[in-house]
Amino acid sequence: MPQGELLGILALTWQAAAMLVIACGLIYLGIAKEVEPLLLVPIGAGILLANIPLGGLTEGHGFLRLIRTFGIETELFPLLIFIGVGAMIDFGSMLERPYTVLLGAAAQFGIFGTFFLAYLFGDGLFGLFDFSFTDAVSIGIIGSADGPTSIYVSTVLGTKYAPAIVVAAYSYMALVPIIQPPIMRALTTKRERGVVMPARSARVSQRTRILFPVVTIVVVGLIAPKATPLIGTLMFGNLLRESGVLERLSLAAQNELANIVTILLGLAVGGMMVAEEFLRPETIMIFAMGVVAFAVGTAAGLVLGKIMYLLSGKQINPLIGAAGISAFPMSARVVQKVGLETNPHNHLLMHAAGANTAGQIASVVAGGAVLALVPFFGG
Amino acid sequence: MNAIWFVLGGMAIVFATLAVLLAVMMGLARLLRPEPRPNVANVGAGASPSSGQHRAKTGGA
Repeated sequence: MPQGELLGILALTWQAAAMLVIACGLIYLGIAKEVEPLLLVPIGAGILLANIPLGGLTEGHGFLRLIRTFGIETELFPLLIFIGVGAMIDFGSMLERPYTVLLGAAAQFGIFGTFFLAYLFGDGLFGLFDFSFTDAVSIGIIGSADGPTSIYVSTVLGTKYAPAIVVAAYSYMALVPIIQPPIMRALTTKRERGVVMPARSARVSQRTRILFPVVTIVVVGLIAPKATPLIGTLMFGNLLRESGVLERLSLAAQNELANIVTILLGLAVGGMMVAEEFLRPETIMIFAMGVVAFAVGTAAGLVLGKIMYLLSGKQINPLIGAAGISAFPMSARVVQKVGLETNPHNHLLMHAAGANTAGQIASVVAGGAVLALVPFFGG
Repeated sequence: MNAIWFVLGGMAIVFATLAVLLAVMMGLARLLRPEPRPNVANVGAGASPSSGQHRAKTGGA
């Protein structure tokens, strides 16, 4: 046996060493700083395992290769995760304030605006980066602020940047409290931020809550059929929650299913980040684009919030528009915090949660929309 | 140009889908209103849930 195959250290390249440092950094952030630990620790461990020279975990029948093949390339993991997410989300705050649905829609401009920029820097105009039309769409999907949707869309589109896109999507969700407040303060006046909204809204019946997931599958499926796998699994999970007779299954989806798939998904994503494919200028650009995606989505939600503020006779606080990006429930909490800074008696949490859960649905619809449109415009 | 049409088309699909969903949600909420909660204080004071006093306090629904 050649010596190079016996001792991994002899086969260690500087790129692989850099990936090992990145892996340790993610594990550190997850454990010591508690930044999205559920994802960053498994992803970090996956990177660590994938970049140990001669380990063989990402080749042939290696462990990481196997879970990537059956979980990511088949698009199975994001859909299973969505069953758990649907079972965890209470859409009540949105159902009580239906207008917040439009704020979720507006914030999806983060996806399309970022796509446009990425495409301009890539094959569209400047040619500075190796970004094709489908690569740019996949980068834009970071703006959905929704990990499973990012994985699903980038895998279906077959972009080579899927690992960087997924890591960026999950990492920036943890950075929402840093990215959003300056934009919120810049785009709103103190008077707008101080608008007090009533804590209570019209109640909705249990029958409405049960019918909502079924109706949503039908409506979204008929208009944007490519979104059916995502919206179908999300709403199936929510039906388990709201039915009132499937508590065991709802709890299993929220806990056992979501936890097992999170472990496998994190390891598989980390396993995709091997040095030769990850360490390139495009990766840095993708991470920069991730900030743009979250910022543009936040700004678009705020702009529609300001329009609603004017149309409602200054009754709606425009800050809640910022929660239209998915990032559930982080962005709703940020809205509450910024609102309280201006007026310590103003509790916007439930209104922002409405926009936030609407953003979850809107990001799935946007994912379906891009999958439907790419064959027409990007083929 | 393709990129611009892609952006416009994508946003149009998102808004159209959610606008329809909004209309359906509002329709559902109107059709399936929750039953008003009985006003316990009034019932205890002698006013039945079907009395005029109760209807006035719950909006007459």
